[in-house]
Amino acid sequence: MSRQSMRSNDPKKVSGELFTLTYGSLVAQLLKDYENVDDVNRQLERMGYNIGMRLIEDFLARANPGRCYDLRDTADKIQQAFKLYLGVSPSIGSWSPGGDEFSVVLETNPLAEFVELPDHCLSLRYSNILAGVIPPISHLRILAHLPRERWKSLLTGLRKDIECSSIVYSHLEVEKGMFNE
Amino acid sequence: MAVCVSVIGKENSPLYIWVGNGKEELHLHYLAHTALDVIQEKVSAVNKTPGDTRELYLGLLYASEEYKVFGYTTNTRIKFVIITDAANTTLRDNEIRMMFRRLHNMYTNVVCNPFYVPGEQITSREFDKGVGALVAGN
Repeated sequence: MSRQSMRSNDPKKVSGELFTLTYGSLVAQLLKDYENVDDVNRQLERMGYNIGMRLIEDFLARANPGRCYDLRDTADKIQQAFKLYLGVSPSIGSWSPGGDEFSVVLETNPLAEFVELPDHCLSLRYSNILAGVIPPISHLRILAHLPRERWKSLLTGLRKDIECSSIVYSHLEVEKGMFNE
Repeated sequence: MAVCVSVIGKENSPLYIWVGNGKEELHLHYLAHTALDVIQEKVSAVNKTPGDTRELYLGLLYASEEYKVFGYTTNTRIKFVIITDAANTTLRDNEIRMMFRRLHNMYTNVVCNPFYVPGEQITSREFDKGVGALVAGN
């Protein structure tokens, strides 16, 4: 009973599992259509880019975050946005010594709840859509992706035992366009 | 201690069979297959009383000198069969029910994987690990 009353307050909310399953079937269908893993990665990133362009308006309207004065503010806002839209709190870390690169680590990825990548597409960046969302909203650039475990690709950062570069953002591009009031 | 765990699809095709170490694999495969007949009997018997909500757990299907066979069916005609040693009397009905429930949960997780087509063989590593944990837990 209480669940129904919660849902009636905000009819636009859907269950998280439905979202996960929808994204899953989207990726599976893309794979079937393109058959080439790199193409799929690119498409996912492009979709993420489109979503990001629209999401930034919504984020500014809802959260009214204010201007970002430096990269750390930007990182904070990104964290806030993840919390708002996906309900997960990523951790921001691995700041480079110059303060112009950082990584975003998602401990639990709601998009990849039940997913196991089959052997023929191990290089699929399953959550590439998340990676696509960041550039349009912050004018930052993604330099690398790291698989957190062998078969899940997340927008994640460094772990000492995995030797790859982290996701890094270039400081210069931040100055070109910041969150505006 | 469960000796064999198997998942059988709607058209009675095997989706997953796990057999414990050092056991006679072929014999156990055969037992799981014959258990299907018993399952079909039980399921059609219940269907004769419409309106009766069908119980998913089918209980002890068949007991021989060496093995006991338990069955469980889902509403989508997927069957789970667990075969245990007959000598092992410590496994109570409740525990078997728990095992089936966990199996069912693991199966639904596999089905939710967007890369798994229902009706295919189950090759998921998570499922393998889960089954290992399930039998080791006893």
